[in-house]
Amino acid sequence: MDGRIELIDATKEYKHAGSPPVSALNCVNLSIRQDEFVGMVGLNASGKTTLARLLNGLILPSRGKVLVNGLDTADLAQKKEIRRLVGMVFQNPDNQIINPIVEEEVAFAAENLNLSPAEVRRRVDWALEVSGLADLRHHAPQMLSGGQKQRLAVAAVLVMQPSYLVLDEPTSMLDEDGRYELIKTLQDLNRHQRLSIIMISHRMEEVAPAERIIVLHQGTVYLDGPPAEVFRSPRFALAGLKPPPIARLTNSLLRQGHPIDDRIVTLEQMVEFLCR
Amino acid sequence: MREMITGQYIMGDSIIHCLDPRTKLIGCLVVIVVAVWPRQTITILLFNLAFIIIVIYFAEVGVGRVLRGLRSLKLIFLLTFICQVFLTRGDPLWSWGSIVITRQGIDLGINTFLRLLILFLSASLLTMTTSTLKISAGLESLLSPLKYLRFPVQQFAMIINIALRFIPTITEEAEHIVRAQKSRGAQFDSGSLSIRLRTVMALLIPLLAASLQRATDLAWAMESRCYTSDGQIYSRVYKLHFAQRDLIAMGVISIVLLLAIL
Amino acid sequence: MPVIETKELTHIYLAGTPYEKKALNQVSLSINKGELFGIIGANGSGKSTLIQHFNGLLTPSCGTVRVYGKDTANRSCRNELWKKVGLMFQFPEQQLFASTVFDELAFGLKNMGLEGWEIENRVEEALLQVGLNPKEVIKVPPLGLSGGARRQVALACILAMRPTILVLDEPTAGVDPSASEHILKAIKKMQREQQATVVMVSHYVNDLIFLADKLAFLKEGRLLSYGDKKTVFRDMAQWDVNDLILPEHLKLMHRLAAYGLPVNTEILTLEEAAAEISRVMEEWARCER
Repeated sequence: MDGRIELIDATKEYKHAGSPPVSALNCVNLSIRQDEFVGMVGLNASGKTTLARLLNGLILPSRGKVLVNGLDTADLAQKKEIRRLVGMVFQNPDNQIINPIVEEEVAFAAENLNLSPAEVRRRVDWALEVSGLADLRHHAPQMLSGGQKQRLAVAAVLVMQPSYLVLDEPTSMLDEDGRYELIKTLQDLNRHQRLSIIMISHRMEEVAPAERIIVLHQGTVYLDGPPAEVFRSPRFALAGLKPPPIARLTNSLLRQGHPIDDRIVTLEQMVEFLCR
Repeated sequence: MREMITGQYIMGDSIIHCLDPRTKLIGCLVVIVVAVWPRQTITILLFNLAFIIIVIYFAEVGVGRVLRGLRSLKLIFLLTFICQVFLTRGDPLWSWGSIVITRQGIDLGINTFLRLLILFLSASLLTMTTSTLKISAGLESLLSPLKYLRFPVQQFAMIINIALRFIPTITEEAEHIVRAQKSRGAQFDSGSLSIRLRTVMALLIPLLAASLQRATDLAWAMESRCYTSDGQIYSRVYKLHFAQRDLIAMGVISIVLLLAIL
Repeated sequence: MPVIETKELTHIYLAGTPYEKKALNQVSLSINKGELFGIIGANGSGKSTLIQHFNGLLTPSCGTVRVYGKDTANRSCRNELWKKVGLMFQFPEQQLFASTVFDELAFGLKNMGLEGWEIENRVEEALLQVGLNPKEVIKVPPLGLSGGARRQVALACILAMRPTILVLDEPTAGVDPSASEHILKAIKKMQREQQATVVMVSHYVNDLIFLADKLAFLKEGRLLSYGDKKTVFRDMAQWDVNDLILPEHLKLMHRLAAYGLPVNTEILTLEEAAAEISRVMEEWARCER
C-alpha cells in the first residue's frame, strides 16, 4: 500500500435546474505523499474547498477517482477507513465542536471507531498532549479562545491516528496568537509525528513554510512546486495572488544583484541567512 | 462578555450541587407535576413553594440572584394574575360598573401565580446547581429503559448534548446581534408593539440563519469523524452513581409527593 | 479638535460576582476630527469594549467618555449617538436579516426617521461606495450573497447612515485579500471625501501601516502606547511576547537588530525594509573587497 492520496482526472460538477452544470473542479491530477506539508492557495471559487472535501470522501467526484492509500473514496465499504486516514478541520472553530467538555469532544471520534475504553483513554491523553491542551481537558468549549478551539478540533481528529490532516482555512477566523499556536502545532505534527498536512489558506505567509504549494485557479491546478518557485512564477500573479512579504523582499534584493539565496520565503529563513 | 443570565449554572459544592443529577431531575419533575396538577389547593402549592425555598437555601446559590431572575418575569406574573382576577365568574367581592372581582377570581389568581412561581423556581434551581453535562448524562440514564421500546435514546442524548453545548454560544451570538442592531437604531424596548415585533425579527432571523449554517457545518464535522447514526456505545466522562444523600433526598421527595396526593 | 475623548476610562464586567472582569483599565486617549485612528490589540485586550463606549452602547464603570464634547454618561446623549457614530462589529454579515439588500440598508435609515426617495438615494450611494453594483444586488436577499459581498453590504448599511465618525472592528477579518482591498479602499475614500473620522480596530497591522494617522496599542485592558506610528511600533516590539502582532518585515528588522545587524528598526514599509537590508549587504560586500 503506497502512502499517498491520488486524484486521477477528478472533476466535480454541480447541476442547477435550468442552467448548464457549473464545474467546481476540472480534470485535476494530483498526488500527495504521506509526510508532505502542502499549502493550497487560490482565490475564492478556485475549487479549494471542493478539492479538500474530495480528499476524505465527504463528496465524491462527478468523474475520475480519488484514491487514499489505494482505497477508492467511491467505495462505500471503505468510507470509515478513509475518514479515519484523512482527518479534516474546518474554518469555523465553534461549528465543529459538539460536546460540552473538551475531553469528551476528543473522545468522540475514537468512540465512533468502537475502540476499547482503555484505548480511547490512551488516545485521548496523547491527542491532548500533542495539541497542547492537556491542562484544559475539563473545560467547556466556550471558555476556550479561537486558537484553542481549533487545536481542539485538531486533537479531536488526531485521536483517530490519521495519516493525513486536511485543514480548510483553519486560521481565517483566528487572531495572531491563535494563528501562531495552530501553525506551530501543525509544523510539530508534520515533523515529529510524520503526519501529512494539507493546509488551505489565503494568507501566503502561512503557507510559505510548506515544502510544496499548490495553486488552484478556476478549478484546475495552476501551479505546483516548492514555495520559492511558485511565488516567483509569473503565473502566480495571473492567478490573482501576491507573494508573502519575505518572498517579495528576496525578489527585490535579487533584482538589485545581491547574493541572496533565492529559496528564502519565510522570516526564519531570512534571519538564518543574514545572521550566519 | 455576558451579563448573568437567569438560571445560569453557579459552581458550588452545596448538598444540592452534589446530588446525583437524576435525583434532581426526578425531584424537579415531581414538583412540576404537583404544581400543574388540576384542582390543586393553595395550601399544597404554598407547601411546595416552602419546600423549594428550603432547597434553594441549602443550594447556597444566593436568594438575591434568584429574586433578580424573577424580576424579568414580573410582567407575565402580573398579567396572568390580572386576567384571572378580572375574568373569573363567581361570588362578587367588589364591583365597579361592569368590572367585577370575585372571590374565585382572587383564589384562581393566587393559585396560578403560585404555579408559575414554582415552575420557574424549580427549573432555575435545577439549572443553577447542575452543569449541562450532568443534566444530559442524567437524562440519558433515566431514559435508557426506553430503548426497549425502540426509542432512539442515543440519538436523543446526542441532540440534548449538542443543544446544551450550544446554549452559551447562541446566547453570546444573540447578544452580539442585539448590539449590532442597536448600533443601527433598533429599539428592543420600544413602547410600540409593531416596532418591537420588527426589531425582534432583526434578532431571530440572523440567529436562525446562523443555526442552519451551524447544523450543516456540524454535520460535515461529525461525518468526518466517522459518526454514523446507528447507535453506538457512548461512554461518558462522568459515571453516575447514587450516594446516601441521594437516597435521603429521594425520601424527602416521596414525602412531598405523598402529602400532595393525599 | 478631539471628537472622541476618554479620561481614565475603566470598564468592569459583572462587577461584584465571581466572574468579575476588568476589561479596560484607565484608558485615556483622544481622537481628532478627520483622523484615521488605529487600535491594535489581541483578543482580550479590551479593544471591543473600548469601541462600544464610542457609540453609547456601554457606559464607563469609572472615568469619562466624551463624544463631540458631550459626556456619554448622559442617557439622552447616548440614545442619539448611534446616528452620528456608525459602529460595525466583527463579522458584521451575521447581522443580516432582511429579504432584500434594499430593505437591509433601509432598516437603519427608517430607524433614523428617513423615508421615500431619501432612503433610495442613500442606499444607491452607499452600495456604490463599497464597490457593489446597485442594479445587480438591490433586489437580492443578502443572505444569498457570497461571504465577501455580504461584508460589503454590512458596511454599506453603516455608510448609508452617513455617520461622521466611523468605528470598525476588524473590518477585514476572515475575508480573502481581494474583498479586503475593496473594503479598505471604501473606508479610505469615505474618510477623504467626507472628512469623516475613522476608528479602526485591527490586528492586521499591515492594513494600518498605510491607512492610520495615529495608533493605540492595548494589552489586557491597558493603553500601553499611543501616538504616531513609529513610536507605537517601537513600543510594541518591547511589549510583544511572541513578536506576533507586528507585520513580517518589521519583525524581521527587530530580529536582525537583536542579532546585532546595523538595521534601522523604525522603518514602516516593505520597500524601506528592502532598502535597509540592501544597504547592509552592500556594506558587507564592500568590506569583503
